Amino acid sequence: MTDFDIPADLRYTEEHEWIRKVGPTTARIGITDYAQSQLGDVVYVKLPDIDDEVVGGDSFGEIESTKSVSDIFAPLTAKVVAVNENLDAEPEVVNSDPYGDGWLVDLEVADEKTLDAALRDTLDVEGYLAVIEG
Amino acid sequence: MTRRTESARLSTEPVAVDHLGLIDYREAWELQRRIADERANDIGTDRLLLLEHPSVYTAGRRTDLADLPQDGTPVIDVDRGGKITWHGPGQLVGYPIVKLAEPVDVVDYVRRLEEALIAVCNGLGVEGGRVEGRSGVWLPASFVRPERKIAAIGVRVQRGVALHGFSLNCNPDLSAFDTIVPCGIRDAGVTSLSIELGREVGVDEVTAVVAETVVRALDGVLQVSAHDVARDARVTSGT
Repeated sequence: MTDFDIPADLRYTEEHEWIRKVGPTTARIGITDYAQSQLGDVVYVKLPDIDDEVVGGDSFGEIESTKSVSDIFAPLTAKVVAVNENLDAEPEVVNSDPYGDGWLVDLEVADEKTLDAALRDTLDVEGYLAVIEG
Repeated sequence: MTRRTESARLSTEPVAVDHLGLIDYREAWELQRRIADERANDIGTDRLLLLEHPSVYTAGRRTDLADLPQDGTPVIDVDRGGKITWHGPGQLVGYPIVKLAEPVDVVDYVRRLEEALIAVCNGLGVEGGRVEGRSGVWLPASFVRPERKIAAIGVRVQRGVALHGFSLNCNPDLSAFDTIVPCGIRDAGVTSLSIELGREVGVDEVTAVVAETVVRALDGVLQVSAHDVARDARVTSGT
């Protein structure tokens, strides 16, 4: 069994992002505890601007650690409605609190049916565990 | 969590090593991106590009204005990790372009590159190691010399493929570093194999052993072990 924190109430992607439904048409996105541990100490996060459109499966930002730069992928096609600007000053929160204050962006889609359908296409805890445990 | 494989690479095919000689930075960058796109689509084989660049400064996105050359020297903005550095003749540059084993472990990959370069340095009689919170290969501070970097690492991972890589100072003109703050670290120095050994150590002398050792590290033949540089209260930290 993994030592990483994988909350049961979230959805996950194979690219190690988590998704939390925070409104009927809105989802909050971040990277998982596993992802932050594999990246190392996060020193910079490049995020899109509010009102940007992101495309599911495409890169919409970057996370830089002391070791490398890695892409962040959009789990669904949507509009950016909020960005965690606190990460400009405190990028290390992505390491210390990946599911809380280390969130990245909020994405909004046209209607709840679209969001629910997109979430069904993502992974539950067991599915994500299978990804990280190989 | 344990890896399913001892290798950091997804492929079991041997790494192809390309000796490119002296090559323009932008040309090499374009070549890297082309190979990385191929590897992301499972085309071709993992490659290790070994080369030297004509004198050039390159800056990662986190580079502070204060770290840049103050004389207006051109700087190429790049998409690797890290801040500003210099590349030039006498410095062996290596770009391993490899599809990483899944799940991707970036820290493990970088530690393998560090391990290979530490092994090369140690084999030549230069005792290098790691510094917590920094990448690359470092030599410990003494009462007369600061902590100093002999090899730099800056990596990007996209679509599961690693690109960019490392540089090892063999016998470069280190005065090129005087106009910048290398890697944004103000409390440390830069050194070379030639300076540390007191004799000329050219790129040609180390290229073959670097190629072999990097491949051994990526494939898990050379195991990662602790090589922490001893530090004391006189040495302050950086990133």
